[in-house]
Amino acid sequence: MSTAHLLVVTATVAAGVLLCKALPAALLGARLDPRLARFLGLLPAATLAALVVVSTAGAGSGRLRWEVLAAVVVAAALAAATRHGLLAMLSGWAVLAAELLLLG
Amino acid sequence: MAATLPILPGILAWGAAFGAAAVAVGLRPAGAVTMSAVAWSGTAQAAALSLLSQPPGAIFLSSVLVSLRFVPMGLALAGLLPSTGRWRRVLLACCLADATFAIVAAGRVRTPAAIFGTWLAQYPAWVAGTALGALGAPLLPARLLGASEGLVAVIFAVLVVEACTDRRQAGVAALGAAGAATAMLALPGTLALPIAAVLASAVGMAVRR
Repeated sequence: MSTAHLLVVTATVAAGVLLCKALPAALLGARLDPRLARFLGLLPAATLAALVVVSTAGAGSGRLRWEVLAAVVVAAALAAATRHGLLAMLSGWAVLAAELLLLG
Repeated sequence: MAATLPILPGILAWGAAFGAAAVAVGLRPAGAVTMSAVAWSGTAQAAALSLLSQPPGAIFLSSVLVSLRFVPMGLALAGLLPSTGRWRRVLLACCLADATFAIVAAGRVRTPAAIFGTWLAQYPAWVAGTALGALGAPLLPARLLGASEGLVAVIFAVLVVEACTDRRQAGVAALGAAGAATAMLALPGTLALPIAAVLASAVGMAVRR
């Protein structure tokens, strides 16, 4: 692959990413309609939850990864029960590491 | 920047996974690092690796499709930073990554400067991870590279719990997760995510109690 081709590919990827990042923020003004503000207030939790599902399934793998799901469930349950984020994260990672070591 | 520390191992590992994959499809290490430094989006970059011989239009379309998940995140910034001006918000939106958004949505950072700080911490980790993966792919254990997404998923799971500050938000989050899981039966995750997030928020807004 030539340097010029790589630069074109890189610039094209960056343009697509930046368009999706910047355009929604550019379209919304500083003063928001109350209904829109209420909708936007709910969007972070919904987006994050959908992000958990997508990252648990794995980008493009098309199958549920049970080992990741177990770690996610443990971490979320601990976070909800204790409200101690770091402890919950470390516990989830420990589950993931144990599964990697034991199950391969 | 301190709020970013727990997510750095996952970003480093995910960057290494991309670097190793890029070298495996024929990119030189410097090329992989350049792509990470300029594009700064693991999913879009990974998608581009399978389209290297395609025309730029196809690569651009693929990049837009896999980046659609940033649309609800960019919209949500308006609700999360209500007193920030439009163009400042646009600049901050360009600094968004999945992990940045998760930290902001969970309320761990709430000022433009702090959001910029999360980018300052993540960007070098992503680029360094790519270099590590591109240069050391033969030496890194495949299982470690494969686990990178799992590390990040655990972080997101904790942050979504922190983001749900009342029953309505918890209900919308459950609906968003269920919607994404259902949509992924027929759609790729990158399309399922924005559709599920927007629909769940719309339902949450419509329900009065």
